[in-house]
Amino acid sequence: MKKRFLAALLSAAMVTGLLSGCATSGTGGSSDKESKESKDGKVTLSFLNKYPEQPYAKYFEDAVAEFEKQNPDIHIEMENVSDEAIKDKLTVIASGGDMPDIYMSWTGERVKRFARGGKALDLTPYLKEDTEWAESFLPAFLNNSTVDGSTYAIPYRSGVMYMMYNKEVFDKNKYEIPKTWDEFLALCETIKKNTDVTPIAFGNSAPWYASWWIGMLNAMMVPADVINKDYDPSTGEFTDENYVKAVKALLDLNEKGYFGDHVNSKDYYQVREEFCAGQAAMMLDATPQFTQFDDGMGEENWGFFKIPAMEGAAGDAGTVGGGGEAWMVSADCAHPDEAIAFLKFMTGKEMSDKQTREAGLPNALAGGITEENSTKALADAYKQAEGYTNIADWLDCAVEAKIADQYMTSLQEGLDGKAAEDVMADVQKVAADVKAENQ
Amino acid sequence: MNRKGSKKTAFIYLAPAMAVILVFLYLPIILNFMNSLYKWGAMSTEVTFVGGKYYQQLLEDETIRVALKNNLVFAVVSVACQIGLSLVIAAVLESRFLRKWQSVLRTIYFIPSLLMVTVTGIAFKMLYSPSIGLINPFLEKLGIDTSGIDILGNAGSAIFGVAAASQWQYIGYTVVLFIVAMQSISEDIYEAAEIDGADAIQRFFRITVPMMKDTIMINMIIVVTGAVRVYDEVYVMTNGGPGRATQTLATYLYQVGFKNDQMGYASAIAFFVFIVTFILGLFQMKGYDLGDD
Repeated sequence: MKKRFLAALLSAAMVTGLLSGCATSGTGGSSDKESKESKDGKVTLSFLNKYPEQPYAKYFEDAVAEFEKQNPDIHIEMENVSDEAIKDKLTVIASGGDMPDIYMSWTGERVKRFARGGKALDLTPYLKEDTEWAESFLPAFLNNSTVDGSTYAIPYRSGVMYMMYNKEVFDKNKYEIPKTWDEFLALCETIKKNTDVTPIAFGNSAPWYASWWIGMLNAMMVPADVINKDYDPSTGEFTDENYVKAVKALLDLNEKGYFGDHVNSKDYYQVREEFCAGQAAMMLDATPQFTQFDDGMGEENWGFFKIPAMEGAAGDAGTVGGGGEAWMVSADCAHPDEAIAFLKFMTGKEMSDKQTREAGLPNALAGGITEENSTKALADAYKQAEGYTNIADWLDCAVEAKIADQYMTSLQEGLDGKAAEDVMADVQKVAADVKAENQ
Repeated sequence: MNRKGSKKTAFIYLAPAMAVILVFLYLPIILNFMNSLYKWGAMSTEVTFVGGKYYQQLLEDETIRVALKNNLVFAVVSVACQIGLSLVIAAVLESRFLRKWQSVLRTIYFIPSLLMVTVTGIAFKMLYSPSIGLINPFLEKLGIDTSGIDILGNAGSAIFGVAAASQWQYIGYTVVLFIVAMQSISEDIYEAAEIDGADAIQRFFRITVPMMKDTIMINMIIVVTGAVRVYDEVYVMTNGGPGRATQTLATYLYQVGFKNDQMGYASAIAFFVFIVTFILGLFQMKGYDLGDD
């Protein structure tokens, strides 16, 4: 009898142990945080960033160390996760409920979805309080993070798209920089015929790269008001025929062989290497990657030009493709003031300057890129960008996640032979679903 | 009293294990089913009841059909290679004239299964690449026109490319399992067969295979359920592309849940995967039982 009782007691203890184990794991996040704070009055902020590779990682580590030195009461726990991985990681953490205090995201829809889901702190009051800070940013990048008049993210990196070109190929063959889309196509044809290099480096096994192109082509070819309507999840239809034309423009480049062969089994990084190795004449890329070309080819061996204008196209000629990266503060952050202090530090003039100079990541401040803190090419690129009035986000950051997924998937199929009309039909179907859901 | 008492004790002793199974196995299945009846997402705070809508959507979803087909391809290829081919390799390694080299060869075959899927995935991705890989130049040497061959880039061939890499990795593992089983078959039976005039092939089919039925069955269950759940190979090599050509049930589930933020629909897919594996499991268990008598 005694033994039996003991066995029952022990098993009961085991079961309750298990159950309580489950229960605590559910709320573990918040209790962890509280215990972190209490340690000798120091405030710990977790910070999820996306730069594990050099030279970026070193800059951010130094910056965090500098902030901690100036603010001995605040400890920043930075975690760096690479570009593709952080997209998944953020969603997974969001579903788990324990967001980092400060996390990065891309301006546009990728910020807005966190805001709509109540995962992000409304930063408008802080920006209103410190108008000098609010006005220091390039308006296009700060405005991309606004939902219903409230701002949810602070941009720290800006990107503007340009066409990179290999100077050696251009000089040797006396090619001229194309000004219009027709000239651009003619140049591709000449390069394809007369040289053994690929006219344009393009790889789409990771399909976000096509979304850069299509985001840019949409901005060039679709009227701005139509884009504004369609990129909004609650009104998007994508039925304008100009979308089909934009897809066609992209697929034509592939069909004519300007992208080289087998675009669906190469990814962006591989073709960038190919471009740097002189195997391709041009490549669409954005200002944050300028340092990669400096390193890969040498500063003097590459140049860039504005995306050639498309004559007679319906889009807004003042819009350029691009996008920003921004930091957001979790809605659950226990110390928002400290988090804001950190963001102010990181996006202040001094650190922004340093970020551009040391890591080569163009900051998002108005007039923030100068010859002093960046290479001549970068300063030049931002000077030229002043002519643009609007930034069209990379498409995968601009539209709702399901639509973006379908767009990219169908484009991949398009590059494998699917017709442009069918690509857009797929997108329209998903957009209709999303619209119905968001009403 | 005594018997009754011992029954009670048995229940008490079983209780912890039962509790673990209930909490960690059955409860999640039920919770998952309940989740699949709601529209919810990781990002949104809204939760709305939608009933069986997602199951209807699932039946109409073309990608589900593609995924099922891909899982089937995986299962067939895996059984053919990891059971069929592995058996042959094991038998050859066990044959008299190779036995001296067996341990060396066995190790060589086994090593790939120790590697991480990420590593083999990336290595095969490079091998397959038409621009930097080795497969296309090799085919060219054989006089085959490779201009249209892009194993992972063409929708038609991509899933086979992924499946092949997976076979390369795991054949050695089942070979070792089979060799162990073969070594437990008594040498006398073979000798007797030899005296009766059976040749090597007859000995393989009449003695080796029947004697190993149990091992083969167990491996079959492992290989087939593995094929239904296949995820990492696809994720590393193609991430479901080009288009949706290599989506499997598991990768599509992840895509729907964590990229598109449709957790409800993802739960419905998860429940569907559970049903599929459950039915497969039933069939196999039945087959396994039959082997006993």
